[in-house]
Amino acid sequence: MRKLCLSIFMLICMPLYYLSAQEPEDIKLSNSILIENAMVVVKAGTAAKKSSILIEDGVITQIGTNLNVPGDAIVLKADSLYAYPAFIDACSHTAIPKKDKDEKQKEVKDPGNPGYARAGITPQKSVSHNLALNDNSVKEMRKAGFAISHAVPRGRMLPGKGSIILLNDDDKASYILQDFSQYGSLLSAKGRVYPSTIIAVMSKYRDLIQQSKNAYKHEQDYLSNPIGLKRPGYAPELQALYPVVNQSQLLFMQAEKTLDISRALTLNKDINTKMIIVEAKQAWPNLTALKSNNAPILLSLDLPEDVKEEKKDSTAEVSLDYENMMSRKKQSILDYQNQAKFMHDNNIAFSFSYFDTKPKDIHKNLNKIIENGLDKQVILEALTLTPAKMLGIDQVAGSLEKGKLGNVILSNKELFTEDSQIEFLIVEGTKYAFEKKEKKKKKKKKSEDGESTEAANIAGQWSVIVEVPGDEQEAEFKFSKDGDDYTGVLIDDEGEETPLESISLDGNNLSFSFTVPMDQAGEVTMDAEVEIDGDDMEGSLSVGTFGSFKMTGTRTGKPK
Amino acid sequence: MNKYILSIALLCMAFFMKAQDKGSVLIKNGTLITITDGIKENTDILIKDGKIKKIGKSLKAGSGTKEIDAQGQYVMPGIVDAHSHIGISAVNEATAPVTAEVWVGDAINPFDVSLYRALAGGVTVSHAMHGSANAIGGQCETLKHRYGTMDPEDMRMEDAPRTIKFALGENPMRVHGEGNNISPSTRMGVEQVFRKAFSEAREYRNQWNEYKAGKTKVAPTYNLRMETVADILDGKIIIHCHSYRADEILMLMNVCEEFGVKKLVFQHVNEGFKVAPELAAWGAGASVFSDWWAYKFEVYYSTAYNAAILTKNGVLTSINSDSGELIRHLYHEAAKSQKYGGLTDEEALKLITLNPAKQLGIDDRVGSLEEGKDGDVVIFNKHPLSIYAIPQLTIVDGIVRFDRANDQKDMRVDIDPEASIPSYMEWNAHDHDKCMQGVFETLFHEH
Amino acid sequence: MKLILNIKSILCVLLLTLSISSKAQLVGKAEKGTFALENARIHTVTNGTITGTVIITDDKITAVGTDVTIPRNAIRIDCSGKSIYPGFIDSGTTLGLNEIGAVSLTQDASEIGNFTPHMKALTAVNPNSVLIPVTRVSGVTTVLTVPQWNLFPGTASLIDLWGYTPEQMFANFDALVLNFPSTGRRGRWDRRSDEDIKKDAEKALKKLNDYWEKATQYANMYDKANGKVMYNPELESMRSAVQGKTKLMVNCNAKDDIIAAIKWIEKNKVDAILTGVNEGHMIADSIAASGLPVITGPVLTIPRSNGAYDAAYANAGILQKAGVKVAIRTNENENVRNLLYHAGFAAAYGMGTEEALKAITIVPAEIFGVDQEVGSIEVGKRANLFIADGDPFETKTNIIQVFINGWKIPMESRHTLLYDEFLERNPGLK
Repeated sequence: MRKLCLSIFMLICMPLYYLSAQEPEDIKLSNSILIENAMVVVKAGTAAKKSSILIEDGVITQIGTNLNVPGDAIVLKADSLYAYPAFIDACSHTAIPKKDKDEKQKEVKDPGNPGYARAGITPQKSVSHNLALNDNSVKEMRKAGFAISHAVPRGRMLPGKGSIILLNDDDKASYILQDFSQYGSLLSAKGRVYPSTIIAVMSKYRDLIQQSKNAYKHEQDYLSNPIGLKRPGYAPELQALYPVVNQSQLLFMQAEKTLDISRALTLNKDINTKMIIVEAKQAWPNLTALKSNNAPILLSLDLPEDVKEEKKDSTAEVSLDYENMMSRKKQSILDYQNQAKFMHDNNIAFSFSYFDTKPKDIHKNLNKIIENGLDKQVILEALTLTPAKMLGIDQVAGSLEKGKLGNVILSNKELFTEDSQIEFLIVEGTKYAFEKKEKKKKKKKKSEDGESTEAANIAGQWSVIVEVPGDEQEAEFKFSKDGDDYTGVLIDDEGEETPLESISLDGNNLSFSFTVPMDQAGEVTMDAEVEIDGDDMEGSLSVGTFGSFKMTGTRTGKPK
Repeated sequence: MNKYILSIALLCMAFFMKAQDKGSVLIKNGTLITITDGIKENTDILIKDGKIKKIGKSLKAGSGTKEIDAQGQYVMPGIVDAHSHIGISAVNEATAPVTAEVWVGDAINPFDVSLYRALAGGVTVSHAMHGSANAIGGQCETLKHRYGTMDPEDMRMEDAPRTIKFALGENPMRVHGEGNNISPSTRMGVEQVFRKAFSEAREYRNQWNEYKAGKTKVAPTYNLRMETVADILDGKIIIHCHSYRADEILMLMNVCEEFGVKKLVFQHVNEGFKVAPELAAWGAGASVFSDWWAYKFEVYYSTAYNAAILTKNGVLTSINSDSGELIRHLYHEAAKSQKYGGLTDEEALKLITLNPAKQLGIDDRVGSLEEGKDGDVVIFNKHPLSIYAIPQLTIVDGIVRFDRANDQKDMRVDIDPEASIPSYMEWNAHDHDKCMQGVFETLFHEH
Repeated sequence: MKLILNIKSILCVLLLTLSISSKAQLVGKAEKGTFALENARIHTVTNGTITGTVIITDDKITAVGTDVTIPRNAIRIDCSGKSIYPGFIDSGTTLGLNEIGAVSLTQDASEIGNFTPHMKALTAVNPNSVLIPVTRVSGVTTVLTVPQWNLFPGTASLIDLWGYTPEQMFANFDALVLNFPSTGRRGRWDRRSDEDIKKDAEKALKKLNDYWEKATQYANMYDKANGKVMYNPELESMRSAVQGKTKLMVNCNAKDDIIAAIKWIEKNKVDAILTGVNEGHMIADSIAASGLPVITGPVLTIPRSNGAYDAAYANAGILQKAGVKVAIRTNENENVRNLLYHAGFAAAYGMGTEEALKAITIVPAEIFGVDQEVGSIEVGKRANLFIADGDPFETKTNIIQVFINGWKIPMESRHTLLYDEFLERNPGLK
């Protein structure tokens, strides 16, 4: 056990130069790439047209037919492919590893005055300090067609500033705009300290913003004439909020349900910031307030699943209750799925945010929105030009036009159609290729036809490979069924067993975690999230604060 | 099944009506219990655009105005509950002994089905309060039960005066003293919390006044907590103070007297009867339970005759619920003041209408059937102080919000897409003192 | 009436003149003897309503009727314009066990552990609880006091609300209590997932069956070995219940739990009473078919968030109309006096006054097998009754005099005494 874990630990601590050896494709031959003869959709709303695109030093220099192509350009024959402007993620935690769950909160002597950091207020912090471009989320987002992310920090009330980054695999992040935004939520502080409720969070915002305003004025007065004035104090939290107070920086405010959104927008009447609502799941009742907020909205792509019929009840009276409940629930699900269409119909500009959506579900859920009647072009716009404008980067991104960044999606069919698959993503002229997953599709089809929604059986021994930077690490897991639940262990090469915790199986989605001791680092908790497909599993393993890594496995033995 | 689909359609229609809309309705031939002008038999009441336009005989409504025949029924003003915690998502910010800056009006939850159930008990206005964990708790919100809206803003009673929750005795002592080892842990300590907050706020206000007058050049550090306490000193906020024992009631009256604070209502005030003459002389209000007692030590020496003793000693008294259960039958709770102390019908009904309205500073709008007041009305099949009385129709701003004849079982407004059938809640009859909601859940397990 | 007034004013005088030591005593002394309650509307419950006289001799009702000879030594109480009712029975409370809610050391209703069938409520009944006089002056003369919370929390006892020892108060019925595994939440702090709740309930059911099987084995062994068995107080306390010789009170509220409980009872052939049964209205017919009696309540309680607002008000009436034998309880402690209003609400919301009245008098007496002793105004029954100035369900009605076991109870309690002292406080201001 010790050996195995230690080696995982060592590997993830390895210097980052190991990373660059892995991706993109080996040795760079040229700084120019030609996408030849693709069906090009220049921007949302325009028809696909046969053309070629030349990208030099990451910038689109020519687009059309009969291009003047330099001799050293790498040619990507795209006769059978569609080209689209790559997607822009308007807000997410991409490239930011989850915090270690077991991170112990220090006891606070006076819970009414826990200090800014403990209260979840660190607006002076920048997401840039926590970016991990090797995080699995970057690869996954790329796979979904995103070349640019607006990454905001994880945390509670005001965790810090967000940055706009390119999703390429350099050892350092490629910023488009560093410290572009301030990110906030209405979440109370953790662990019973002030603000411990929504009502205190609201007051705290009012307090902070007013104090920041006053501090700003004080500072300006002092700068213009310090004589006889008290010297302004050092207040990094308040200083960090100056641009928000002065409306020169957007405040991205996470608010999911209608009451959250209503509270955020009501609050904004007092604090008067340029506020963007993020991860909205139920914003349609807030139409009036959204209109007067006069800003685009970021919708969640975490859509509710279609209703599963629960087991029926025997008695007549109750089955009426059940029918009533189900019909109301179905209506509710429809409302949630129709949110994007509702915004479009009511002329509210929208894009998406991706807090609660796994990147691999993005296209599935986009297709659901389209099935419910929203035009594909509108979706494309919401993924390209709208976020580009919102983030103030529409001069360099959001469409395939000369002078813009060479960020291109190449797909086998029109996007948002059945079996459409992204084959390549070009990020600033760098090409990423994705495996086709036809084989898998077939398997899936089978289970869909069978309408089997039952949970997968995971019992047995599994042999898995974790792709840590520069290496692959093997491990063995064993699951056994215990009633409706599973128990499991991690087995090391000496046969020692570590129990798995919080094993949860939802359909084909399995998650579990385990804690392993480290010589120097105390303990590290690892969380696995995988999808089971027969005797295969695929997913990720997140290792404490170190990031998350791809994990694949096969079943080597079934129980008798 | 068909019945259900139909009913859902009806429900939806009702909800599409914008909640702030004002309605018009003519209620014919009822027995009007006006509260301020006696009983009027066989009388009509016309509500026009949300306000009571006319009370009289043989009134005519304009065409298109809904008419309700109340022959043989009792029509009274909508019931006002001066102490509740329904319709809000957060009750206690229990992290500090003074949290004057927080405001439950920031967390209105129009989806709370308790609001509908309150309407089914004839309650049209409730005072959604912060809890009693802190000596100076948060500001409260007066709600109008315009149930059916998805917009929390619609629930506010527009222009109702600001109110704030204070708390004495066991709760703040337990939460901060016992829980966090921070003063107050005694009733002596509780007094000093008020004195300190009032004194600091007075100082804070002076500093700002000096700054505004140009005497100082740098603005004092803005502090919403102190702003709020200063507003109390300036008479802009009515104090509603959770209290039980006679000594602590006297204490707060003395402290307020010293700081020139005049707007003071005591809540629960189980031992108010012991200091009824002092309360009356001071001019403080009392909002009491009809008969709750013995759920903790400081209410062991209680009497159900409290409301009667207070009333007969000239204290402005109301009966409140502090409970999503009790709020459904405040008319019955008021009737207990007749059993325990023999109050007249009018005195008893004032405890749940005009008196709480006065304590909330909204008696110009609600609390009696008078021309010009809000069209908040409840119609009973029998006299509301009878045990056999059942509210039939509850009207807010001229709009029918509860109709027993068309009641649907499931009256929730917002259905979560992931919801399953709600689970059953084992009712704990000893689960009183909702004031500590949000505190017990995390700090202690109740009972 | 005059007489009563006189007694009251004498008492007032006494109170004013006696020294502090007499104030330390909670209430005055009760009287016993022969009483003639004349010219009353007598609500016998079992034999209609008549205007006439009730004679109480010692602890019994010795005569009821329109034409009754009044014994010469009788104390005559004129009840013109008044009504007489049998004492009300609350068939589910914690009265006598719990004193002050938040003071844990005054809480005797629940012992540590989940399997505590050997706990006996009667042991811990405090005859001098301040709560008892507050309750009985409302006309509630008899309550079942019930251990709480655990799977098998112990044995409940029926007590009269007068007496100086638990034995004097005991009213000849007790029963083992089972809190049937619940799929409901235990309160608003209960944040378990639906799944977890289900699992916990399944586990608890398994536990229950294990205990029950053990207790059955023990009972068989006991019979075979003529009582020469290992000391096992838990199983011993269950012996008569598993053999169906004494009653088992099975508490269940959520609809699914009621269904499961009925199945369990039928499978194990238990002589059971269902208690709680808050969602019985959903399955009234199956409960009626089971033939099990039901003690339901509280009536003043909140249904599930998707339930009808008046579901609990209407529950008792719906069950009764479906043919179930229904008694009403408050499940309360300091507010047991509100039994009258729980019944009143049930009456208003469909049960009707007559049936609601039965649900707190003769029906619980029958369920407990003490209907030869209490539950109606009949000759030979114990004199548990009260005089009221109207319909006792009506909130404003005053209960004028209560008799328990023939004792004429002082109509005082902490609440009335504080009223007397503080209505016109002396000194008042300054």
